[in-house]
Amino acid sequence: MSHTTKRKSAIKDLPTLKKAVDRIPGAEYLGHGTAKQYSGSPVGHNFKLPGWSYPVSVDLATGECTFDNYGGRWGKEAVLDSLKQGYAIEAAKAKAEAEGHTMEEIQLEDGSVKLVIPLGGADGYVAEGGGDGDGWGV
Amino acid sequence: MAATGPRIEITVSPTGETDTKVFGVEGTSCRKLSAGWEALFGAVISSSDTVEAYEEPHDVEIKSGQK
Repeated sequence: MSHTTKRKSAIKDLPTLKKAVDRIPGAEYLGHGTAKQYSGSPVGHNFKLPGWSYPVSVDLATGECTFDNYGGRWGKEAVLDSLKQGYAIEAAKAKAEAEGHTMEEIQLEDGSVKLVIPLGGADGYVAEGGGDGDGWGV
Repeated sequence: MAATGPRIEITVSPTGETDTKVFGVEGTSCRKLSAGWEALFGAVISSSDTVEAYEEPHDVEIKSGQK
């Protein structure tokens, strides 16, 4: 009987994945190779999540995550969700920095995170009406 | 203090789904900008123009998910 689950994700960048793993206390990036799961041996970039019995493996080419948590008995899916949240945050941060923007990260009460990226105009984007005089310079 | 001026606001849910809003950017540039963020977060669930709650026109809202 197999408990392995495969799920599509947006995880396709290794440095961003490593940063997302680092955001979770107790999580650890294990490297690329064959992950030993209960009933499968997927090949990919593998990481251990806190409270999970088997490592999660992700194929960065497809974004496909393979994990073996036996419907939550061997690892809470909420932890994997928080990794996906962290990945989205770190991906946004990397893109903002690459484009010369800053990014503010605001924790919301419902567990969501709001990211605010001011556009300074250096990238050619033009504000409607030529700016609102608040110092954004566009 | 609420953010003002041209900006991108992204809300990332606890499950990693994203809701992206672009404010204060003209239509064509807004579309170009939005497309770049769509690619970053994966499959788009829905995309629509929005002007509610903000005075700046030509805002675009994008919802993306990873599941």
